[in-house]
Amino acid sequence: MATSTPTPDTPAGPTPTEARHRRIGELFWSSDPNELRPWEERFTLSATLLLLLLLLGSPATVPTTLLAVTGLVARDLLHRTWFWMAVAATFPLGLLRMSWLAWDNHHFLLLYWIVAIAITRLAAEPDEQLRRSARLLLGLTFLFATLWKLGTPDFRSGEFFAYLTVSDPRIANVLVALGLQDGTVVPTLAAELRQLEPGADAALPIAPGVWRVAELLAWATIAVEGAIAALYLAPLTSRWRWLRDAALVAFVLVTYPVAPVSGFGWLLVSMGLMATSLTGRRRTTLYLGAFLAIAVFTERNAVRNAIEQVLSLLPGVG
Amino acid sequence: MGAIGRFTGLVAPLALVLVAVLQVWGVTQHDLSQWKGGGFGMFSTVDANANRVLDVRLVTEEGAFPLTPAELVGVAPQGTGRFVSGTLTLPTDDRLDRIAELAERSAWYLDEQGAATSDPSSASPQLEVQAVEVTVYRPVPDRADQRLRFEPIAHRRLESPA
Repeated sequence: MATSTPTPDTPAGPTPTEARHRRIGELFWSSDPNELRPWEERFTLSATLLLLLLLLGSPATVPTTLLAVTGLVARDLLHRTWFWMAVAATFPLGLLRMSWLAWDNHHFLLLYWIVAIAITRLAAEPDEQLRRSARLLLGLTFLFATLWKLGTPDFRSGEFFAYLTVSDPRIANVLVALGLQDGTVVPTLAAELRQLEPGADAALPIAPGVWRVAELLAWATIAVEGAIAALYLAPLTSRWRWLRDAALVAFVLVTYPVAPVSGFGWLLVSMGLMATSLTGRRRTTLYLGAFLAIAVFTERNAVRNAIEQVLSLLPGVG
Repeated sequence: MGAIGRFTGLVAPLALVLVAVLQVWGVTQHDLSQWKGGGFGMFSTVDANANRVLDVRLVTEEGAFPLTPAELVGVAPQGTGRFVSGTLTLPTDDRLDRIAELAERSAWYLDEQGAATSDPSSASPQLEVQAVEVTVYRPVPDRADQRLRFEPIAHRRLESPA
């Protein structure tokens, strides 16, 4: 990084704190952060998270994987149009190996996000266009998710969440720990469903208290997801835009400890980072923190194993 | 790019809306599972594709014998497991017919428990299959009765050639 000498035409050099932040910045997003405008820094961080997602949690083919690795190593590539065109051209090959009926919703969203990055690089103001894409993609995702929940009777009545309490061990374990449910409910129902004659019905051993909690959870989910949709789709003034970041990160922190879909969570973080109006350390801390939190929530077994392996290598431990 | 460049930020959101609207049509008109298809209906209903049930029955003079998914996939070409999974997600008549044809083309016997098997070492003679019935059921929770019911959403019957 070039050092600056104060002259009458140039401002004084960075303070020690600024210099430390720039050195940290060098590690994470650029060989020379002084050359990056603020939106480019935001884009670089968002794109980095996206490339990590392509490597860790997507059906990427070898060409996409190679591009992702190259982009993470040679950071200047992140600002090249051809690089994103190549990612957009190769990523669908991984999806096409599966039937479209097997695609998860975050596979669709990932494809839209990659296409958005590639195509907005053609605009005269790529930052403005990509921020618009990120904001609308987030808002529309939550809008459709909210509409489906509102339009589905078994969600509104709490029946969906109640069913999860007797079929999903992660949620059932919470209820067992709270003393609201017997620990044998999930395996008993699973065994009954395996033996069930097609067309017959099965008993749902759900306690009355759980029904009430499930209904409350259903309407809370509709309210939260609807609010995120409204915040991202409404043209907020700059004074209120922080609400978007707060709502999105709160959603991530509440959802991903129980929903094991790290790919979806990381994608929301990558797009949220591009759409944000926050700047500097607050932005980086909030979104990198959310990204890491999802990794810990969803890959907790892998994280635990890694920590145990590292500890076992330390002398005097284990 | 000029004026067109000013709209590049709308391309991906418009694609999302288009696919999501098509997914609504697929769910309402063709029983596509609302968890799938790009409409963001995941975690909104018990009727996930993974919770649906496929029932394949061999109809004979002695009665109807259900086939387990493992038996069906065992006699089918590679990739049938994914096809069956896709059929649960989108149970079209074409897909149900293909599954019925797969079952109808194979030879079936009864094992010692009286269940249909493709294992020819079974002591029973080959079943004379008159028809194959394929049905897809979806789960519907019923809060009032505390039951999980299964409703048929698609059904096909393929008569065997005489």
